[in-house]
Amino acid sequence: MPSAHAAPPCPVPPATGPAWLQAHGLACRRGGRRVFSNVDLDLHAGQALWLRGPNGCGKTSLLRLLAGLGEPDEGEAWFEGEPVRSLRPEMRGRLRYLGHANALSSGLQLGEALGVLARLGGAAPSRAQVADALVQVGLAGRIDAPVASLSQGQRRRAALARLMLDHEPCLWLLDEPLEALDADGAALFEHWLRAHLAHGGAVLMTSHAPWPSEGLPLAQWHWDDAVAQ
Amino acid sequence: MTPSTTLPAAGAASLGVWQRDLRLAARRRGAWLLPLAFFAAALSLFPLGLGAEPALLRRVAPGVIWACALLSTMLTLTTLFDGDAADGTLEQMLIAQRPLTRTVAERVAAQWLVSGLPLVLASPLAGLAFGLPASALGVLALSLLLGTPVLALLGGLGAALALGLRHGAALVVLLVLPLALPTLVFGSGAVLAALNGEPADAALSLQAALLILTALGAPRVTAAALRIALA
Repeated sequence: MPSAHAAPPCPVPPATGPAWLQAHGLACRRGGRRVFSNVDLDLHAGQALWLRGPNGCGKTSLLRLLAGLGEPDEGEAWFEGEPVRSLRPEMRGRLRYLGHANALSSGLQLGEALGVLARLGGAAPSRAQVADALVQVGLAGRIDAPVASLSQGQRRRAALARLMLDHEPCLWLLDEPLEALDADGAALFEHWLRAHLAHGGAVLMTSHAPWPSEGLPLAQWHWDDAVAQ
Repeated sequence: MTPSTTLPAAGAASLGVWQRDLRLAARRRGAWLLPLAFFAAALSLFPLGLGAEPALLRRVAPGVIWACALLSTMLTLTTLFDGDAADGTLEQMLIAQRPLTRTVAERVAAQWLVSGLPLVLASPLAGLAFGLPASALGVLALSLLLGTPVLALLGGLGAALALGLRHGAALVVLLVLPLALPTLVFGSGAVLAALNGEPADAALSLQAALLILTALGAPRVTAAALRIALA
């Protein structure tokens, strides 16, 4: 059975207590084709896992299943011991999913779009907090800019700014968070990731880009090794 | 100094889904002008097609105005969830802390305020143009006030069921029309009764009952359909 933290190539903080996010025997089919099967996973607070693999191997499908979007064909995923498909609302607020799409409505101003996302996630940030989050991602002073006027990279930064609006430690499920980010943005992301982990959060992310720097407490999980059928 | 300290108003930034939809509608005038224009254009076809005979027009007015209102409401509802599905907001709604049923109800309510309420307000004018007596105008507006929310709820359900399908818009109308028939029958029936000098209470009560039933059931089914569409 492949396990996510069986032999991490990078140093990860030791797992203490029960796993935050757990999956057992997950399988997924798309259009009659078996995308993956028998995926096991344990993720603890303070851990970060980088899921690597070729296009079409099912990284996005796995993240969606773990986020509670869609039903696995086999197996089950749990967040703090509860199946992710039927999480209590107050626990939903601690599981953050960022997909390929940035979820910013194009008719809105940036601050409004983030306000909608925050409200959906159960948070009620003030305008000042939203502005601060935008400063952190390098979009200072753009709170009233129309979403439609931003570049792809700026929208990605804004989507990541949503993650800065949480106060308690969260589990991030990030699908290609570095997509469209420039070198400066990728360095910033690394900085947020460190702060997030130090704050007791956890991350499961996919990326096909080579990691920009060494020394990040990020366990690499190569898909081919993990999902040997 | 960060921009946050220089902002004049440091109020709440969080925005409900219905507030978002109303703001979007305020910025895109087409959202509320288009259904109204369609309503007016469709109504104007009937005097041209049937001939400008006052007695005939008065006789067909309840059915014609109601059918035009129904089609006009459907016009904007067929794509209710398409934008959110395309930009990823719908995924976030599905896994949000706020219940999806509530989000759906907020979206439909905002959509009704934008595309249904203007029809209700314009309907007395339409009635006057068709020569309805003053006594029937109030019943016409009231029947549309009770009926158009039902149409909005059913249209939202159709939009969720047809999400991601090709030719989804035509499919939504076909799916929803049979479900909307009772509302159409009782709505135009109420106006017809008022036109004939009979009490319209029974038909209006039935419409109110339909509204309550639909409001209780449709958002849940719509939410379930959205979950299936995005699974």
